[in-house]
Amino acid sequence: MNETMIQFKGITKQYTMGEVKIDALTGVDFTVKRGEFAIIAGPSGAGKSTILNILGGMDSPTTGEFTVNKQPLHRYGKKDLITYRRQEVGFVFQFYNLIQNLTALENVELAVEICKNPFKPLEILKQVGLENRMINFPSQLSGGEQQRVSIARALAKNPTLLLCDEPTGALDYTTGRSVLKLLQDTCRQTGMTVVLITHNLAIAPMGDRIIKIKNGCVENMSVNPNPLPVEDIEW
Amino acid sequence: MGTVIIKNAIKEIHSSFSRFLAILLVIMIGSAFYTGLKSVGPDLEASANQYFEATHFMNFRLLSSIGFNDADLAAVRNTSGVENAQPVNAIDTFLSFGQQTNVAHVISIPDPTGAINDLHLVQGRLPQQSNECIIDKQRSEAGPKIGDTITLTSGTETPLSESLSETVYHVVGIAETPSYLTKDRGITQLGNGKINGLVFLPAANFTVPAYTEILVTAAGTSGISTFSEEYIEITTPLEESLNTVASQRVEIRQQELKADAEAQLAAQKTAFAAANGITDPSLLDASPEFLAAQKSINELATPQWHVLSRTSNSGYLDYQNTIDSTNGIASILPLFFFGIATLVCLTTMTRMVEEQRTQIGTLKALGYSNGAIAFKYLLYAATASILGSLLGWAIGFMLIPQVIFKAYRVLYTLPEMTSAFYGSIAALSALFAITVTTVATFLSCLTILRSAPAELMLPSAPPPGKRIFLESFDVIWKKLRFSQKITFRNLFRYKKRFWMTVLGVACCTAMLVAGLGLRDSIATQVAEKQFGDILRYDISLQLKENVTMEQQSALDYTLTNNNLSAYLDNTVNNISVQRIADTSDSIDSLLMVPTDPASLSNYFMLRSYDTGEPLVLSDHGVILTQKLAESLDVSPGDTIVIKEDETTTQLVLVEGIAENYLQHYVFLSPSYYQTIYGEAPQPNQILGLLDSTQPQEDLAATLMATEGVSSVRFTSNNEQDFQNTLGSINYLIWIIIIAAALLALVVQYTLTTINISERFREIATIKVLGFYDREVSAYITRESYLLTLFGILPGLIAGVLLHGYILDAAEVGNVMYVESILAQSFLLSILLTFMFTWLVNLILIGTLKKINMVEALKSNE
Repeated sequence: MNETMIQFKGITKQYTMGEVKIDALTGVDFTVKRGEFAIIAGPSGAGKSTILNILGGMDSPTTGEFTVNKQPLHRYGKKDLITYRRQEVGFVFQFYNLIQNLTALENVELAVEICKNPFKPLEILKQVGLENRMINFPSQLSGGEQQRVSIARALAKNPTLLLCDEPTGALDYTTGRSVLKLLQDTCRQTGMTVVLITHNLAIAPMGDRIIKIKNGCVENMSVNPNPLPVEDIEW
Repeated sequence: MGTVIIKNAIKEIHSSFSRFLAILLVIMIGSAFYTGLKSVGPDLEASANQYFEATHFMNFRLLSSIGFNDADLAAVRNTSGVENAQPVNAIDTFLSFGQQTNVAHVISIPDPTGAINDLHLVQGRLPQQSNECIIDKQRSEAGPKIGDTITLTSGTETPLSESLSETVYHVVGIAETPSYLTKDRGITQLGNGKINGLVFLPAANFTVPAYTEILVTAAGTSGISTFSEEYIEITTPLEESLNTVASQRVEIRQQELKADAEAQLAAQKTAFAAANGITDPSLLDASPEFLAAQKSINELATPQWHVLSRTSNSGYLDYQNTIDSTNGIASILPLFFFGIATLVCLTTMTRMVEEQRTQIGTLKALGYSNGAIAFKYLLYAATASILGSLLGWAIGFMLIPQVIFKAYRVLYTLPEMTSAFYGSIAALSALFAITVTTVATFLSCLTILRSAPAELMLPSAPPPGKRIFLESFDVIWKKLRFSQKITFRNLFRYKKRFWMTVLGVACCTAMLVAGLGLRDSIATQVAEKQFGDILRYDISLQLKENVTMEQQSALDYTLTNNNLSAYLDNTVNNISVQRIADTSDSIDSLLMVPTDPASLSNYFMLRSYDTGEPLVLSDHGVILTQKLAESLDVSPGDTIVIKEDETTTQLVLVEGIAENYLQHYVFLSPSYYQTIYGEAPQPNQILGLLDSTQPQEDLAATLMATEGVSSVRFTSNNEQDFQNTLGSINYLIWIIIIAAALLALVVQYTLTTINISERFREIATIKVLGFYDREVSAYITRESYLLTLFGILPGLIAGVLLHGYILDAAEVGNVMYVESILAQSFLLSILLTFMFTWLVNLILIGTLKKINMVEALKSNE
């Protein structure tokens, strides 16, 4: 539990939009330990998405160093970053991003196809409670069910890191809670490191580690020795 | 409409330039092909009309079995509807120039006042002295130039001095005449039966008492197209009047001839009586010789007049057929292009409107009317189609006719073929293009414009996933790899894209197959089969008339000592062939009588057109070549008529039909010739096989220097000439290939970009999931290769049909095309189609790489 999973050191990110330069991140430092449920929270525009993009290997920082699972990702080229995304990261999107033309099962299979040590898609779907909906297409599933497929897709890859971008953003309260519970249980049961990004500070108590972002840098990072189960959190 | 909307449309063009270009390009190709092919027919028509007006081409040509006198001419001139009538004298003679001797048709130069069939002087001047002449361009290319001297000699027992005042001429000019539009000069009773050149002499040089023909122009035909209905309406009554005049004159001439002959006979009798001391000449009536003379006068044949219209001129008829076949081709090919243009426009505009639904919703919410919003898209599409039409006109009216003329110039002696701009064709193509694009645009807008603004603010739901038909076949479906399953699902999910790509690819393949197939059929295979399989002799020698025994043995000696490994004496005569004796058109062909039919197959392979079995000449029938048999519509067992000239006709039995592609032949065995003509054939040609070691120029010179040889021709030269003639077809094929390529690229590019933009999120998602670039590309390109494959199959079939259609429309004269398409052309078409897909994919892989994954995380739309 004490092994460092993620380390950000002085990460900055500058975008050039036409003639205007925007500093999205002005120096971000934080660490996440293996097996932790980390919550990165902050208002919109604070820079959490940029952190997620960098952490997910979809974007590179302008300056600074960061490692995930001891890999110095800031030194990685484009192709190495794809390999990193492919083998180490599971993504859960706000809008699920399921392939409309594939059934629930096939959506999971699509991700698994390209991994080294994946789990069996069927079993993962059972695990997220969708064994009866496997042959349905996304358009035949509710929002919550779709998000479960999305989570199953991410988990089936057997990633070292699960990245969730506002996973409850498009869901109603009850469904959102059940999705959060699924994520928290997964983390507890499998020991997978989970990073959840949200603007909703109310769910922060469920994390092992809470990183608050404001104006492109970490405002506050705290370790929560007694994370609450999702059932005990109201918002 | 507000200026904002117009500004918006202009910005739209700028920001989605590749789309704009796609519409513009397909419209350009469509309109170029439409206007180009449609205008060639009228261009050819106009060029001919212009030439005919300038040279006062006759409307009718009168021939008579006894010639015409001045009274005949006056009667023709007085016929109502006749604008002008001019007498012409003509005679066939031998023309000698250096070593060459062959037959020329000698014609009097039209009277400069009110000339008909005026010469088109290419070079030099008109004769001023009685010993000056003009020759036609084609003859000049083979020999005499301006300044050279030619000698004319009689081909019959009558000395030429009875017909012409001079026989040795200086060539002072080179000309073309509208009476000979093609390079075919017709047939003659002299020599080998073929006229090689035309010689034009001052009319005063002809010392014959009668005119050979009378040329007539009709009043009121000036400015009227000779190919129009109006022309027929004007000339038909005149043709009837001329026939009436003909029957009257024939009557009068016969009376005159009888009277003349009787007067002559009476004079003879008187002279005879006086010489023999008989007082009453009428006592001689009973004597056998005078009785016979009287009988022949009584039985004097009625003279025949022929009134021949322009269509009886073979060059004119060929030209008219060419116009018809060009119009035939023009009626179907352009439709292909406009069909594709509609598809491209419809897909592009639908996507564009779909992409801008939020913007449309905003405009609607702001209170813009549906009309104003649609106007932007209509303006966009109309601008693309107008610009495309304009560019298409430029290519269509200027470039395409010129390329086609290049091919036709080889066939016709027309001095000038000009391309013109035809307002009606241009307007029709533009109207079509603009209608197609605006209607397609309007349809694309319709659904969206009907929706409420609030609905438009929400993204449209992506089409739901569905199981496909293939999945019900477990056997197949289970065997597919996962990625293959996805590909199939996706293909059938986007049905519109599926059909459009398949259709576009099919059209492209079809055009490639048709284009490459045309080259196979018209050039490659004809040359291969004709010069490789059928014509096996390497050299042919034309002999002079009446070769003596001494000359013959000297010739044999020369032949055996000059690398000719073998040779065959042959009799070749120009004849015309008819199905039944009366009305059907007669077709010029060559009568071939090999002295030794058994060895013919070494020189000329006679094999059955359908089974390929060798054919043997028998003693009671002829073998025809395939195209001749087809044109006459005869099969083995039928009887045909062969004519040496108008009066000598023979009925012969058709025994076999032989494969052949160039020229019509009728093969006869010497004994059958003997049977029907009552005399042995006189060989006038030698076909030889060469040991090809000796340089051919030397051999030609040696042989030409041998007595009795009138001309030498190498088969390799003939093949070269043929290749040159058809070299022009390559231009056409390049046009078709380029058009097919452009079309394929535009269609594929349009549909694939739309595919990518529609599935943007999906692609971004799989990128985030960790697909490598090449896997992402494969995810998309697998689909386009598969679609290409689906399109190729119907494309090949459509290509074969299109090829057959064009070939049918294009085949004229004595050339037969090979209907089959070579396997390599099919392969090349498939390969090229795939290459175009590959090329488009190459461009799109770049686009795929640039897709920003972060987009996948953002909200829908």
